[in-house]
Amino acid sequence: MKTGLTLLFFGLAAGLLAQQPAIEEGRSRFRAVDIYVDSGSTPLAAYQLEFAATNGVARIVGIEGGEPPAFHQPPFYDPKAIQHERVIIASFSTATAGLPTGKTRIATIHYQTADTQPPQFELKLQTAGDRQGNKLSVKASFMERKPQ
Amino acid sequence: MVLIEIPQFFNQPASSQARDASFVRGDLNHDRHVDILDAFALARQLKQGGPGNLPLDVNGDGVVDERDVEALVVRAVKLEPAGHS
Repeated sequence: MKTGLTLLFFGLAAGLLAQQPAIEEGRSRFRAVDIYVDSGSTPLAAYQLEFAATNGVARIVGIEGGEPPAFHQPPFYDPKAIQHERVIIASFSTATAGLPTGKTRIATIHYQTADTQPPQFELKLQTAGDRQGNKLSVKASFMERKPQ
Repeated sequence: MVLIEIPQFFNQPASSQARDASFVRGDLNHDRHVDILDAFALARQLKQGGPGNLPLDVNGDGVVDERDVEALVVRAVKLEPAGHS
């Protein structure tokens, strides 16, 4: 009886270990996705976006600020997002000058992924604002950086 | 540190605020969401040095300062279970 239970335990443990995703076995790569907001001709003063990896092969490992000085600092995010697949990033600038217009890289999200299949991402704009704090209609997009 | 007098409305007990079904604590721009635009609105008010008529004491510590902006930001980016944020 006892031997049977022991075998069952090791059998289950072996099964679980066999199901460990490749990302935990060291067969992984670090990549990045650039996040863009296009506010047209209106200066962008604030934004909030939700980014998610949707097919379970990527984990967020870092979040970097964007290109314009107004958004050069990393955006705000919940630290619980790190090592997970979903994050809400947000930032604002109270600067009266130097706010970006047009398509601008406002952040970069770094992730770790297994090589088993390409990651899929989803980006949702939650809100954006102009320098007076009014809601602004913008386009949000992302682009995966090519591996170095 | 910037200190601003709290508008009378926010010295009211929470129960009286709760009577207004549309009241969302921290929803400074009254769009029924607490997001980065609320933090931005408060940051702008603090930068301009005046309380305006915004519900400013977000964290309820009796002082309106950058910590209220932080409280709004934390709430804005807080991760809830999928589909609830």
